[in-house]
Amino acid sequence: MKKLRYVLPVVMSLIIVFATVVVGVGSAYAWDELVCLASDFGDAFWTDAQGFANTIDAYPGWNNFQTSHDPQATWWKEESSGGIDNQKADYTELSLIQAHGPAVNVIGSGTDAGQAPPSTVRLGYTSPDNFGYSIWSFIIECERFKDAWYQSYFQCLTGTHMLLGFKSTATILSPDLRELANRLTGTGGYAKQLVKWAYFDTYVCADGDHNNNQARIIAENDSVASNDYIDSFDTQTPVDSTKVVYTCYLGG
Amino acid sequence: MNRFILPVLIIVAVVAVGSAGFLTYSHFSTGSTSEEIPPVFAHLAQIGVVGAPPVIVILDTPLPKVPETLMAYRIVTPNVDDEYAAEIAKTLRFDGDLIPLRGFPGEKREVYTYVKGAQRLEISMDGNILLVLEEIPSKVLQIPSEQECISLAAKWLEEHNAYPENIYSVDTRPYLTRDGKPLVIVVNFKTMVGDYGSSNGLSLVVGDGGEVYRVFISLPRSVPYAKVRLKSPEQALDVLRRYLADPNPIPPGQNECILSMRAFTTLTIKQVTLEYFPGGGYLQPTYVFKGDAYDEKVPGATEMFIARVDGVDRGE
Repeated sequence: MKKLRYVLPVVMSLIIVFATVVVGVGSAYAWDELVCLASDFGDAFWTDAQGFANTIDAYPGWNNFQTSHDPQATWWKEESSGGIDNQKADYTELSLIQAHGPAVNVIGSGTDAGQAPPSTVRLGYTSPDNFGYSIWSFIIECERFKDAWYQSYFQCLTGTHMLLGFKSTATILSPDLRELANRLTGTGGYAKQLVKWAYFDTYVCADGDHNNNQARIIAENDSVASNDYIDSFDTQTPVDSTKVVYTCYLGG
Repeated sequence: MNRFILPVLIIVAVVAVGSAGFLTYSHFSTGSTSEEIPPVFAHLAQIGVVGAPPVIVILDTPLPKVPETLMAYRIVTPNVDDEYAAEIAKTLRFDGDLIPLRGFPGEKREVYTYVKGAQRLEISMDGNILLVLEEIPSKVLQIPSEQECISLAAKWLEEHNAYPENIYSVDTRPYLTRDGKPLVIVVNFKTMVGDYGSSNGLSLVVGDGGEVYRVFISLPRSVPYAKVRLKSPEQALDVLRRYLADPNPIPPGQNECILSMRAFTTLTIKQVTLEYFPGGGYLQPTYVFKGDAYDEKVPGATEMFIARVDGVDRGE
C-alpha cells in the first residue's frame, strides 16, 4: 500500500493539450491538428478529461490532438532545457495538465514523471527557440501558484496569454473539466464566457465544495484577460516583463 | 428587478417540504446508522501535493464541546427542468433569453442560463443560483470599507426580501484581486442548520460605488434524516494531524479531511467549530479548523489556513 501511494501521484495524473485552427481571428499559425493529453486521475476524473477533450474537439476550429495517461513535465520544458515542448504544450494553443504536483516550485506530475522548474518553461511565440503557439495553459495542480513563488512563473509567459492555476490546494469534482469546456464553448446550456471567467466560475463557486479554492491567473496583460474567448484572441499579443495576476476566492 | 428572491426560496422550500414527509417516513421506518450515510467527501477530490513536509500543529484554542450524536439532514434537490427554471427566472423578473443547446454530439443540458446583456442568471441542476448583475472592473477603484460592504449587502438582501433570518456568521474578504489589490469584496452570509452553522448561505460581491456585482445563492433544502455518531474533537484533530504528517495525497473519493493548503511547516489553530457540509446527498457535521499556516522556507509569511474534517464517526 505504501508503495502504491508513491506510484499514485504519477499514475493518477491528467494532461490535456490542445491546439487549434483559429477561426476568424487572422491567426498566423493555422493548424490542422490538436493535442489532447490526459492521464488517469481515477475513473471518474479520466472520464471528465475525455469529456473536456470531446467538447473542445467538437467546437468549430478546434481539434483534439492528443491525450495521455502518462504526463511528462518535459512537455512544458523548453527544448534547450531538455524538454519537448515544441511537440506538446508549445505546439498547441490550449494545454491542460491536471496532476499531483510536487510540493516544490515546479510544474510536474509526480516525481517519476519529471519536473519542470519555471526557469525551464517558456511558452509562446517569443520563446528563446523562436517556436511557440501557446495561448492558454491550464495547470490544475495544488498550490502551483502559491504566494511564495508565483512570481517565478512570470518568465514563462513569452507570448502565451495566460497560465491558469491555483494559489491554494485544488478541490475538484469529477464534472469540473466538462463544465470548464462548456463555459469556454457556450455548450451544455452555459453562456460562452471569457477564458478568465470560464476558469474562475468553474473552480470558485458557492456550492460548498469549491468555496475555499483560491484560483489564480497569471496573464500577460489586462487586454488578454479581458478579451480572450476560445474563438477570439490575438495570437501575438505584445510581450513585456510586466504581468498581471488575478486571484479569485469566495471563502466560507 | 430581482426583488423576489424570497419567493424563489419559498418555491424551493415547497418542493422540499413536498418530499419531506416521504423521505422522513421512509427513513425512520427502516432505521439508519452512521454507516449508511455516504462519507461526506466521497464526491470530491483534492489533487494534493507530493512530498509535502510534515507540519507542526499548535492548538491555540479550546476544542468545542459537542454532543455524542447529531442529526444529519437529507438534501432535497429540486427537479430543475424547463418549467422550474422558467419559474425561477420569472419570479426573479429576469427577462433574459435562455441559452439553448447547440446540438453538439453528446451535448446535454447541464445548467439553465438566462442572459440579458452583461447580466446572467445561472440555475444549476442542484438548485444553486448565480446572478451576475455587473461586470467586475479590471482596475482598482474605490472599495467601500468592510462594514460598508456588509451594510450594502444586507441592504440589497432586505430590498429583495432575501435577508436570511437564521444567519450563523457574516464575513468579508476580497473576491477578486488584481496584483494583490482587491477589485471587489465578497460578503458571505452563512446560515444555521439546526443548532449549528453550515457552509451554505448567500454571498454577495460588492464593489465600487456600492454596486452589487454578483449574488451566489446556495441554500439547499433539507429534512431531518437520522442522528449520527460524532467523532470527538480530539479524534478530528488526530485526523487533521495525520493528514498534515502524510507527505502524499489521498486518492480521490477517500478523503476524510480537506485542506486549503499543504505545502507549509507550522500550523497554529485559532478556531475549531462544528459545521454542516453538503456531501453524499446529506448535510453532515464536519469539524472546521481555522488558523495560521507558516512555511519555514518563506520566513515572515503567514497564510490563512482552513481544514474540514468529516465529523461522523463511521465506526472504522
